[in-house]
Formats: sequence, C-alpha cells, structure tokens
Amino acid sequence: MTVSAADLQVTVAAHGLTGSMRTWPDAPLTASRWKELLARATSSRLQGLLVHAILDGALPATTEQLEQAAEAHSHAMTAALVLDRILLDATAALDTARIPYRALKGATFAYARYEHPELRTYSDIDILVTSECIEDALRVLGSLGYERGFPELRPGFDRRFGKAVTLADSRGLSIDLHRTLVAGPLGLAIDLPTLFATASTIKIGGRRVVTLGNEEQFLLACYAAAVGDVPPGLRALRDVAQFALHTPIDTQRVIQLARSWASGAVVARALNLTWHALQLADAVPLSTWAARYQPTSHERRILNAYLRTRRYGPQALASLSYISGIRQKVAFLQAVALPDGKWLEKKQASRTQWLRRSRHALVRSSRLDLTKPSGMQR
Amino acid sequence: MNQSLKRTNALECRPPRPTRWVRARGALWRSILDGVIISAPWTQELLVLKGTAAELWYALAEPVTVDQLSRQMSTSFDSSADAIAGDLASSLRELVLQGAVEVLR
Repeated sequence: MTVSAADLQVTVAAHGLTGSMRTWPDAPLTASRWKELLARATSSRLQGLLVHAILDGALPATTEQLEQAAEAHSHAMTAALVLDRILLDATAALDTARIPYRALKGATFAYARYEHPELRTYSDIDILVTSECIEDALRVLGSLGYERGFPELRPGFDRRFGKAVTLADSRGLSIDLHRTLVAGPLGLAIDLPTLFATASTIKIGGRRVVTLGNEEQFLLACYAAAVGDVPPGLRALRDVAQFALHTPIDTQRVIQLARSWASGAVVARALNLTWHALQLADAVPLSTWAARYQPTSHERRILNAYLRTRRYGPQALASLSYISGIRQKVAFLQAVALPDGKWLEKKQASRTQWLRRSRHALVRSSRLDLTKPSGMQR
Repeated sequence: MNQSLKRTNALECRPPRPTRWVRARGALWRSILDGVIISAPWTQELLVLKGTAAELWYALAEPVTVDQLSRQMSTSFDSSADAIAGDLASSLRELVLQGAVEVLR
C-alpha cells in the first residue's frame, strides 16, 4: 500500500518516540513523493527529524534524497545558530538591566527537551517579561537594534492586555517580547506572577538562560499544539510528546495549573491530538487524564473562540470575562474598536472602516453558538 | 627567607606547561550530516567544518595538546601522529583566528 507524503510527514514527526505505532515504507520514495515529503517536512520545520529518520535507517532513501534532506537541515541549523546568538545577547542585556525574563519555546525546547538540539528547528526568539517591565524591556532590546514593526494598539495596551510585541532588527530577525503565553482569553486567564514564581535554566554556549518551570513549559507547548494552528502543527505535537514522554513533570501540578488557567480543555486537546496523530501506544498519567477529561461548558466556549473561527472578534468577546473591573473592560473594548491613529495608519485603515469592521466582527461573534463542542478528539 | 628561595627554585624547575587548545567559551555549534556549523563568540560569521576538520572540532571538547590530538586523529588522517602534527597546529591557529578555538597556556 502506498502511503501519502502527508501521512509520511506525520511519521517523520513521530520518529524516535517510544511506543509510536506509525510505520515506514520498505523502499525509497519515488522522486515526486520524495519531493513532496521534503517540502512538507521543511514547511513543518521537521528537517532534523527527517535527516535522523534516514540516518537511523527508519526511512529508506537514496543518496540524493539524503543529501537533499541534509541540505534543508543545514539551512535550518544555520538559522538556529543565528537565533541562539540573538537570544544570548538579548538575555544578557536584560540581565544587565535587572529585568527578570523567561526564554520561551525555540532554543529552550531544542536544548532541554530533545536528545540533541539538531532535532528541533525554530524561526524566531520568544522572551517573556512581566507586565511591569515590558516598556523597560522594549527600551533594552531597542538599544540592541530591535524595533517594533507595529505601533501599540493604544497607549498602555501592551502592558495591560497584550500577548506579545514583535520586534525586528535590520536583518529582519525577530524577537517576540511576551507578556503572556497565548493571545486572547487563554492568555488573559493565566495568573502571570506564577510564571515567574518558578524557573529552570539551560546552558547555551556555556551561558545560563532562564526559562519557565517544567510544568509551565508543558502548558506552553499545549497552547501551541491545541490552539496555535488549525490543523495543529506537527512540530507542536512533537513538543507535547517530548514533554509527556521524556520530561519529568508533576502531573498533579499540570492539572492544577490547567484548571486555574481555564486551560483543562486545551491541555486535554493537545495530548489527545498528539496521542492520536503520532499513534502513541504507551499511556502515561497525563494521556490517561486527557482521554477521560470532560471540559466544562466554559472551557468549551473559550476553545471554540479559537477553533471555530480564527478571527479576533470571538476571542476579544471571550477575553472580557478575564478582565476585571468595568474600567478595564471599557479600556480593552475601546482599544480593540478604536485603535490609535498610528496603528490604523500602519494597518492602512481609516477610523470609520475599522469601526465598521469591529462592529461586524462583534455581531458575527454574538451569532456564533460558542457552547457547541469543537471536535475534541477522544 | 630560605623557604621563599626554595619555592622560587621549585617554580623555576617545573617544566613549561604544554600549550592546550579547546573550543572557545561561548562558541555555539550544530552537527550536520557532513560536518559542523560553528558560531564563534563576538563574530557574526558562521564557520562550516567538514570531514577531518569537523573531527578536530569534536576532539576539542576538552583542552588537549597538539601531541594528544595527533595521536587521537592519526587514524582519521591515515597517517602517523608526527606527520599530521604540523597540519593540526596550523588548523588550530586558523580556528583561533576565527574565534572558534582558544589557547590555554
């Protein structure tokens, strides 16, 4: 039976995982199927796993196919080294300015969660700072040549409600400076001080880089897998599997954090999607918990705001329940409906056009049946 | 006074420490199929080492002398340790210039 390149790409994502039941072809792929697989693996950022699947003898390949996979991997590793250097410079500057930070995803996952960093690729830098420090951190990174591409939605929005500010240098290399882990209501539901209450460290080039505690990192991986992309990204699913199968994490603490961050459905979805797609036969306490998890109607409603429409309107509406105080809610709605002139200018929209668009988005959101389950995989 | 003199004499009698070579502190690197890509600290340039040059990089995880490296790598070069010592020394000097390797004296 011929397996499609799309299906094989999933097998590549599962390569080396304990208990994966996915199967490999017996002979090298034809030229056209190989071309498709290479393109898919590259766009899913699975170049490291593809090369190692060939080198480990799991995926039969011709010499030419191995060379092509290695070339794609070499490009990804070049990018990773450039990004690692940026991360080291940025975190050193934050340390000097005494701004507490937590490096997120990318390099921290590659160095700490995978057998070796060559297996995991990434395309940008993510750093979390506290809401109080975000403006100081912007100044510090600005002094290194990183400028925001987009003005603030309204003055004070980043510090109060924002997920992250994207900064870029003259080469176009970017740093996402985060205030929280995910956009919209899930990000607002996170108790942000807890992200700085624990920490773990990794060493990159002999330098100590601070990242989140293991359980908080796992939840971050779950956000990316469950609501980051539709359909879910394979690299994000692989990250979830790396944590669940190969990282010492406190299951009870994960469940407790998920509950307090209104993310039980997110974590369960991430684990269920991972176990299903990567065909993992071995159950671990978290996968068992996820398979049995019954999301609350509130959790389903929030999840639907991310999955049933990728538009910002439903997420903005759902966000209101996590913004405390009428003044704060008004400030949030005002920012979303009436952004700053500079922001509109960059967006090439007039105030009237934006207001009309916001009104339509809110009307559409209110018509959505947000209480319906969203195809949770069990 | 006598004790101080003795210490000085002891230092003078100690044989000079051989020069040792090691990957530069802060160097970042990734293995690729046919070699290794290196990001040396303080430079924007990346360095790609292939074949025996990549093997040399792997051998520099801990400080080593040229003699130790020569013995270790003579099989890869398919040559005697004495014959490759000169080539290794010049490769190491080049890597020092590129900022990827440092010298411990």
